[in-house]
Amino acid sequence: MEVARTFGKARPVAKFSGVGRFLDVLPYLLPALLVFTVFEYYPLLRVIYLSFTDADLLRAPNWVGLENYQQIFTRREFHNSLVVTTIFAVSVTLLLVGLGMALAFLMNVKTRFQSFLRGAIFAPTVVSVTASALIWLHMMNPNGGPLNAILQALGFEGVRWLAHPQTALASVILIAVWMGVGLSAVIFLAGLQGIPRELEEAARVDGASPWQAATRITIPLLAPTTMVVFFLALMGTFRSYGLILVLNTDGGPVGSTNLLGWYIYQNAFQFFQMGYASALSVVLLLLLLFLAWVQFKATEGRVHYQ
Amino acid sequence: MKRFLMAIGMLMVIGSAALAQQRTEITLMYGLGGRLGEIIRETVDRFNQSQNQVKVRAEFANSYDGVLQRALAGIAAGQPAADLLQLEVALWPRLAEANHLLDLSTLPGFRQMFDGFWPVFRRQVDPDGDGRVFVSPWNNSNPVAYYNPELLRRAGFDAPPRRWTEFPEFARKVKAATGVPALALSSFPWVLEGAIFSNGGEMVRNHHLALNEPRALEVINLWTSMIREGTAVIRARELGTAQQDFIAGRVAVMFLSVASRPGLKALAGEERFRTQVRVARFPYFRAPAVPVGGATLAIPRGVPEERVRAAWTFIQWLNTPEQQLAFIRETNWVPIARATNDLPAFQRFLLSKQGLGYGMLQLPTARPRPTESGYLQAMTEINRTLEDIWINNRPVEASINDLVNRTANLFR
Repeated sequence: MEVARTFGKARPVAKFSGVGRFLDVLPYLLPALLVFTVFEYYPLLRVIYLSFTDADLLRAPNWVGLENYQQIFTRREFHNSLVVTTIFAVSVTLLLVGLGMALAFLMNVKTRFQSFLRGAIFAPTVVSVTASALIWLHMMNPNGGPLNAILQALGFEGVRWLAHPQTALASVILIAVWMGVGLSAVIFLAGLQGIPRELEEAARVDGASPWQAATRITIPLLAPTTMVVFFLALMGTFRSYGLILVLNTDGGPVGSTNLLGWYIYQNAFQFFQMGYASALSVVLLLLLLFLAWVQFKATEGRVHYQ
Repeated sequence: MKRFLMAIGMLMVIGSAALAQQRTEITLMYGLGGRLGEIIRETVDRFNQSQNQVKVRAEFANSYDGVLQRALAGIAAGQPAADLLQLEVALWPRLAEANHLLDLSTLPGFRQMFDGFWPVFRRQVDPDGDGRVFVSPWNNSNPVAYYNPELLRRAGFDAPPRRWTEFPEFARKVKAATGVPALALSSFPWVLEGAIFSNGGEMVRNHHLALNEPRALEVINLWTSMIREGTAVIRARELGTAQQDFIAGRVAVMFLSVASRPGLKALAGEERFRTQVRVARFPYFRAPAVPVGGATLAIPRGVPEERVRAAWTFIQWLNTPEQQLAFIRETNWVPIARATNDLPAFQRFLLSKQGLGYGMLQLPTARPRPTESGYLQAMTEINRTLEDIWINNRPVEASINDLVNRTANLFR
């Protein structure tokens, strides 16, 4: 009856208006809301609460006000961690966008090896973080690892990839890109395949070279996809910590791989400073919310080609 | 006849099920993987087969940190993560301080067992001497010097020097004769603790890191001078590759736990190990001293009484001299109980040149590691500061003073 009445008044079916309407749909939303409340919102609120306490997971927390937040901005390790995380996030993101797009172009070319190429490029994405770390620990082993073997064959000295501050972060960036580039390439490929072929063909008829067609037509039309890949990668990299855990760099040497995610984990679960770690998590959350807002702003005004 | 046999069979099944139900089942959460993890599981199996009252289920938590995290999760949930926890020596004090571990001194037979420990282990588990004991020592060791006899011979040495002060000259000669660094030093503070203790220094004094005191600075300066000369190298975070370097003859001496021997042997292979690896006592400055490292066993608060009794039965079984010997044969850890030393089989094991002899000889001069709760985080800061000094060429005294100042609040 309700449906008939709604249709009778020609109201849009999905439009919310007023408390009554909300109560109508509430029973349908309730299961999902419950799950979100228990597993998302409650922990989130709990973390915000803990960030104002001296929680250590061992004793009942005491309220300390803004002390944890004051510590954040005075501790040198946090500043270092923020710098390291920013370098890591920006580098990985730019490489995922650039390499992902280049590989997507490659995957889009019709050749005999197209299926193999697509599989090979996507394969690292399905490898777990632990397995990836083990593969790369072997690759970067200073004693006879393949990377050093290549360097030595070319007449260079071997490198202690993860043991030196100048190479440790670059090594972690390399591994993160290897792990993520397959997914970004596939997203770009989907974007590429959604671009009407006529546009590129028209440009070619007008005398554009393949390079001009790619840079003037295809890449600009990929802008919405680029935005998605860019922000997904940026937000994902800001939350990274698992790789550091499995590579066993412990945030070092000299803090050079001390990503924010690792710094939070270390304070919470190794140093019993859950209050401080919670405050760090809130700061990270605000940072990610800001990035999400930038993403929305950056994408809402885009012109689509449909 | 067929029905009769079936009935007998059914009775046996029910009977054995009933017997199985009578066994108290407890969980041991441990943090050692690889071969050491296998040895722990074999030990648990041996215990389970040795009696019918208790069944221990061994649960691997990936690492010592993993055990701690699960213990913390158990505390937060109000339900112990396991009935027995293998806690690294630096990790248990904080849990004990917050009253989350059971005082083992109240359990039957404790005093007899405790009095049978080597003094260093009594101090390790009861650092303030108040008689309350929250953990029982289990797998423990101390550092020794592993050296490559061939590299040393080329420089005219049979063994590394006994005293740290002789090392700079020794290292220069080894480097000159072989072209490889003489020493691999770690910024993880365990070996540093031993060197500083042997110089009459302390890691923590009066609620501060004591690394800016002259005795400690002397050690750090000496190590730094060798690293800056290129006669020693830093192997901070890559213990595995440091061992590979040593086995491959790319470094002449390294300081590792006496219990690292089986791992080194596995890495080197029987033949290479026999020819390229020797063990010497840990060097000292003024008087021999070594820190003991390893892990302990703890029963969390909140474990039901029946399971506490079962866990305690298991701990007591582990501390019998015969079981210690069985464990030591595989791992090269040092014995906890002095009575193990009296076993003829143990004496034969010491004479078999498995390398444990130096670990045993060093036990009378062994010291527990610092147990102040702030030391756990301070270790990370020490590590980072030493790396900064050695890799980034920072000035020693200024960096150490900065370290002491910025870690002061950890010891409040």
